[in-house]
Amino acid sequence: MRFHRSVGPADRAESDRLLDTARAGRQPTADPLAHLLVAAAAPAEPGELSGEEQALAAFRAARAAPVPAPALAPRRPGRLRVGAAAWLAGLATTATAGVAFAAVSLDRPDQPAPPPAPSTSGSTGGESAAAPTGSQGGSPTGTGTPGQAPTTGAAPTPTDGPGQPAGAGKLAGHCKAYLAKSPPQRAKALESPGFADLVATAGGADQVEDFCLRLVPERAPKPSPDASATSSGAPATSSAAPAKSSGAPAKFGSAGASSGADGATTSAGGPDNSNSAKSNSGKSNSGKANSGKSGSGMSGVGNPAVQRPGVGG
Amino acid sequence: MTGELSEAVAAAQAGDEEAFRFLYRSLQPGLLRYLTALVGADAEDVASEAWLQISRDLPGFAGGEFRAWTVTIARNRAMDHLRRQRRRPSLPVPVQALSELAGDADTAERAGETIGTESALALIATLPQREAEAVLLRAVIGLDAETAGRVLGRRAGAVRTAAHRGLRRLAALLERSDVHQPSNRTEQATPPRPRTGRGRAAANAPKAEPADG
Repeated sequence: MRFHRSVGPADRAESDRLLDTARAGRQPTADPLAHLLVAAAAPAEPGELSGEEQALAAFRAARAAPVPAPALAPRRPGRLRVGAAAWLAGLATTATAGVAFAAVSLDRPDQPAPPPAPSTSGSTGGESAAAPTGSQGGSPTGTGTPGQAPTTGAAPTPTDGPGQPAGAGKLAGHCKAYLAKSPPQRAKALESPGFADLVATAGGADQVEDFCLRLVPERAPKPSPDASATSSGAPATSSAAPAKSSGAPAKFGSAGASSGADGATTSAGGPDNSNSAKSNSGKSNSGKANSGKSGSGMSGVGNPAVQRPGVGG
Repeated sequence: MTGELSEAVAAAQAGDEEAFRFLYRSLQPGLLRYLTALVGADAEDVASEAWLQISRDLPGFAGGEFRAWTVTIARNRAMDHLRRQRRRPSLPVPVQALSELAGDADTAERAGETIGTESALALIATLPQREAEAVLLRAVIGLDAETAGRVLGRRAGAVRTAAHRGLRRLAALLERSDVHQPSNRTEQATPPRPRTGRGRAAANAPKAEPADG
C-alpha cells in the first residue's frame, strides 16, 4: 500500500505543479519523475540546432519573395486577363463575322446584274478561274465586273487588312465621327489633334469632307458613285473590323484568309466581264483603294494603275 | 521569457534575421522533442518543414501565444507526415532508455545528477499519444493547459487529465525499472510499443497498475 501511494502524483493539481516545475527548470527533490520531466525540458543540446542555417535560409527566402498572398494575387489577374482576352477575341470574331455577313448582304442587293458573272465563271472553267488571279493578276482581279467589284470589295479587303487595317479603320471611324457633326462643329473638330491624321491624309482641312464622303459613302449625297458607294461601303466597314479585332490577330487572320480566298474565286470568275464597265469598276475600286491605301489612294481615284499595287497585293 | 519572445517575434516580422535566429534557438529544441514523440526519427525533417512554413507565414502571425502557433504548425506537419506514412512509426526502443535511466537514477541519487534528456523523452514517447502530447506540451513546450488544449483541439480539463495519467504511468515505469532493475534488464529485451508496453507493465508489475485508476 505504501508502495502504491509512492507512485506518481496524487492528483491533477500535483501533476500540474510538477509539469510547471519541470518547465521552470528548477532541480526539485530526488523524485525520479520530477527528474525525468526536468531532463525532458532541459536546455537545447547543440545537435538539436543543426537546422538553424536552413531555417534562416528559409526566413531569408521568405523575406526576399513574400510568398503566399502576392504569389497568388498576380496569378489570378493573369488568368482573368487571359479570360478577358479570350472573351474579347470571341466577341471580335463574332463582330467580324457579323460585319462580314452584313457586308455580303449589303452587297447582294447590288448584285442583280452579275448573275451572269457566276455563269461566266462556270463556263470559263477551273483553270481560267485560277489563272487570272495569277497571270493577269492584279489588274483583272481589281478591275472586275461592276457587279463583281462589290463582292471583290468585300472579300479582299480583309486580305488587304493586315497591311493597313488600323489606319484605314481609324480613318473611316474619324470620318464617320466627322460626318456626324454639324457643319459648324466640323471645322472646330478638324483643329483637334484627334483628327490631325485625317486632315493630313485628306490633304488639307478643306479636303476632309470630300475625302470622307468617298471613304464613308453611306452619307454620300451624290447619286453618281452609287454603285461604288455601296461596294466601297463594304471595305469601309470591313476595314473597320480589323481595327476592332486587332486584339485577336490570329483569329482574324484566319477569317481574313478564308474570306480572301473566297474573294479570289469570285473575282477570278469576273475578268471576262471586266471591260463592260471599266469606269464604274474604277470608281468602285477607288473606294477600296482609299480605304486600303489611304493617302496615295486619294490622288489615284479612278486610276486603275494606282490601285493595282494596292489591290493586287 | 514571454516578453522577450514577443519582442523577437515583432522584430522577425519586420525582417530582423537575428531575431529569427533567437526564435529558432528558443523554440526548436521543444519542437524537435515534441515531434520526436510524434514521428520518431523523422522529427528533424518534419521540424525543417515546420520552420519553412513558420518563416513563410510569420508575417501573417496576428499575435497570441507564439509557442502555440509554432507548435500547431509543427503538429500539422507531423500529422501530414504520418498520413503520408500511413502508420505511426515505431518509436525509439525504450529498453536502453530504461536501463540508462535506471543507471542515471542510481547516479542521480548518489551524485545529484539528472537523467539524460534523450532517455527521458524516449520514456515519454512510450506513453499513449494523447498522454505523451499532453505531457510534452505542458512540460517541454511550456504551454498551460488551456493553450495546450487549443493546440490539441481539446478542452483544458481533458489535457490536464491526460497529462496526469501520463505522469502516473511514467512514475510507475520509473518505479518498476528502479525496483526490479536487475531482473527487468533482461526481460525488457523486446521492448514494446506504447500500448503493448503498458500491458507488459501490468503483467510484470501488477502492483503498479492499480495506481492508474
